[in-house]
Amino acid sequence: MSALGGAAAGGDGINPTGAIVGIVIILVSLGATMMLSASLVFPLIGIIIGGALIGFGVHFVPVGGAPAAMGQAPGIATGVAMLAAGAGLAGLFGGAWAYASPEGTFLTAIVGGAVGGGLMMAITCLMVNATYVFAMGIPAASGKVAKDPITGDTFPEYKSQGTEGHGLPFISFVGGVIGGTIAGLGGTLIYIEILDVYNTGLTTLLQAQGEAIQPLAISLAGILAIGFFLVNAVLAAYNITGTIEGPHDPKFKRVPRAVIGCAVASAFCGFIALLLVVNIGM
Amino acid sequence: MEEIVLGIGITALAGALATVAGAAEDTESDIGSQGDPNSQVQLAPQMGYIHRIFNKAVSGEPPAYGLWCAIGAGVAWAFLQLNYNPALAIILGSIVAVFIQGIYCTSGYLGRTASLAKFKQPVYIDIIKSLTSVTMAHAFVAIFCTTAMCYLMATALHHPFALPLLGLIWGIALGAAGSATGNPFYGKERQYQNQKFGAGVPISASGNIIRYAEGGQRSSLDNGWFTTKFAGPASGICFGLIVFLELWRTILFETSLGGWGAIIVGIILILVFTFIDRWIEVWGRKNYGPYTEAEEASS
Amino acid sequence: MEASAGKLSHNTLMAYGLVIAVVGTYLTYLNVITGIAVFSFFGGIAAVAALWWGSDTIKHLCSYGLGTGVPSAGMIAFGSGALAMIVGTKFGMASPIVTIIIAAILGAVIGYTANNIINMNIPVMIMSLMELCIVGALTMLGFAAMCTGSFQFQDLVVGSMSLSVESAGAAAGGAQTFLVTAVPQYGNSLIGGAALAVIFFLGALALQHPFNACLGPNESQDRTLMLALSCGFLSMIAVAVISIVFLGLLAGTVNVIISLLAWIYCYKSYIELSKRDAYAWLDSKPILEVGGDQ
Repeated sequence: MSALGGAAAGGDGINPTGAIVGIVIILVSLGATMMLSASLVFPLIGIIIGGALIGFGVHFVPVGGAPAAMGQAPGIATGVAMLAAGAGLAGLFGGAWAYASPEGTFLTAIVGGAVGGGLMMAITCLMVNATYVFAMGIPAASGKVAKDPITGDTFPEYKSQGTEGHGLPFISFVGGVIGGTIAGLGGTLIYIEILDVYNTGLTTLLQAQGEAIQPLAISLAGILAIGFFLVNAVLAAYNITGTIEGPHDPKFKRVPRAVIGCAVASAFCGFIALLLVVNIGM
Repeated sequence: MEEIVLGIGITALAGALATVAGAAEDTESDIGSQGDPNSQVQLAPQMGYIHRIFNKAVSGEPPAYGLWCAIGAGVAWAFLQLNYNPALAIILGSIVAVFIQGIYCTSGYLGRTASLAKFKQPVYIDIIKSLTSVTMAHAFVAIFCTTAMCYLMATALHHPFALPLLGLIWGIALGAAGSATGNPFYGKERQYQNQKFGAGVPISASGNIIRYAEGGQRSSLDNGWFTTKFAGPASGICFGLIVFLELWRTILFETSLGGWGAIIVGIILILVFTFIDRWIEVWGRKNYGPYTEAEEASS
Repeated sequence: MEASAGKLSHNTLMAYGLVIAVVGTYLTYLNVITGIAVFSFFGGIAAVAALWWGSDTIKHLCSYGLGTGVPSAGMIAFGSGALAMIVGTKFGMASPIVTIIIAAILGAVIGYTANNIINMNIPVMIMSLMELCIVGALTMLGFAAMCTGSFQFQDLVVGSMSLSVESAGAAAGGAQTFLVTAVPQYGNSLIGGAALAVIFFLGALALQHPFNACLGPNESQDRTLMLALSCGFLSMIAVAVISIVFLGLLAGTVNVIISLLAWIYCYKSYIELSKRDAYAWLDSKPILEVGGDQ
């Protein structure tokens, strides 16, 4: 749907040239980081995985856009990128807190972030269904499949006339929770990798003490994590082109190219982020 | 032990503030008509239905509230650096944020409506004069409560993030929660009040929003009353639960099982909510029944 | 949505925006030369110029039909621009130029990803995302320079370079004394206290709002650009209030007054332009029915 004569967007498949160039970009980023400092390669791999997870998780979240606000389409009536950002950032909040506590380890922090994101999506999806059922009197129905893959509920007779479905069928709810979990996991992973690199790197760069640098490193890592999150979520939203019902939606087949795309973007952005603590410039 | 008791008290207060913030946020976005339902307000003149609704085109609610709460928290942080009283700092931050929000609202309305001149939709100045202050008031409540909640998290609960960053994060989450819960209620039940209850709006009726209401021509001011009947409190409960449970599971359980206690409680909570959702869904299907009889061939 | 043909071509806007943004950021260096911090507002002017240019880029990009809304373009611009800006400030006096270079490369990579890996196949995608990334980075750099008086990393992390002796305590970001070997505290600075996040989102919304708000068949370029200036100066007001902490009362008040006056002028012009473009400008009048079904 391009208005000014651009070529139509490609179908659901992967563009081979693009994918190969993308993989080259990832390898170049890794190679350049290795040349600058070998200890930065593992954090960069962590950032790449985090970005790919965000891109992957965003596809699970059921978003209906403007038609959902009128009960014309299933899903949540908000934008894809920002709903996923809300869930991921709530997860990041929990994960960062877990990492800063005395018992915090890498594993508890990222799993804590994942659970935080999933919890936010669970509560939000629950209240969405409560609104549809109790306030609007509309049962949930999907427009893309005839039967719910998990519960076996049939949908065609529960779809009101003239609409494409409405509400959040159970598969969409589960998709939303999984999406929030994976997005929270990815975001917290990026945050922790950047935080660890900056904690040691900035101490050397600014010739300061470890505890004094801590608030600076945390704030930098937080702002950059939000930046990474927005870039990856918007790329995934571009892939989805607006609305998706959840993992059962045919659009879900587009996931591979989004994962590759987000990995490429995160690799290069991560390389730039790690340049901050490398000895060039200042 | 006292640490935990204080933590629980602060958590409860933060949860209460979050509930008020969520309710005020959704009411504000419905009075101003923001987000996805606003696409119908934009579409109506193109289908020939001139209206007197406040067409506030300021992105969606998550980024908008991310910005207002970030400004509120940022300016509050600045005044806290100058050793102002915390309550005063938060109020001043909210005032600056609300001023900016009000200007964005008016510029959104003027811009969109002036660009619809081809469809003969006039700009009604009295809408701006009467409604801007109302949206700003509701936004002030939402921003103040969110900023106060973030201040409690930063200082009393010792979250590592700085206040402006917390404001940004919770502002985006507030907008997402309020938008998800409140938008269908406003979009279907209020804008399309004349459509059949208990069914979605058919695609053929797009753009035909309610423009004449109970006592004359509908003004967006009435949407506030309507929102507070359900969507506002529901959004409040949604955001309040999110904040409260996130804080509660961490405060109580982060030290047990080497940090895994909070995670296990979180997973249990997710399962509880999944169960409740499934119950609601089944209740709806059973009590409302299908629209048409199930066909023999569908399986 | 069709792209309206404006009187100013996109390349003209890009040239003006880029030059004013770089020059404005460098003019904040007058703070160091003269020893008083009142020249920080040039950073704000630089940021507003970048936003002015960027709003036309968003219009250019979104007129091709992205499939998602306009706000996401602003988010991706500032998500990548923030990264470019933070890394770019490390390079001393060359920071603005290096920031532009880093942002251009970053934007090109992200644009290539969106166009060829995500298969959006929009002709102007790579160029537009390059421009948006540069705009995001320059806006943040300009506002950061306005807020703290400097565009270099070491000053952004330890607070301001305010040279007014009496307010050294608060203005110097919490350092105990001034220009003596002191133990710097990083938590009270623009980046350390995460006030940069406010600038981040101020810019992200100010970038996408003009086109998003003026969307419609009768969108006209001069009105959109005036709204861009208005949003830019509005954001400048918020940054000016925060700058009182880092620059002291005098420079901070100068910032606030300049932003307020500039905003008032631009906003009044915007209202005049809306009056010119609107179908009718009515006060307390009923709905003008044009014959839709009721």
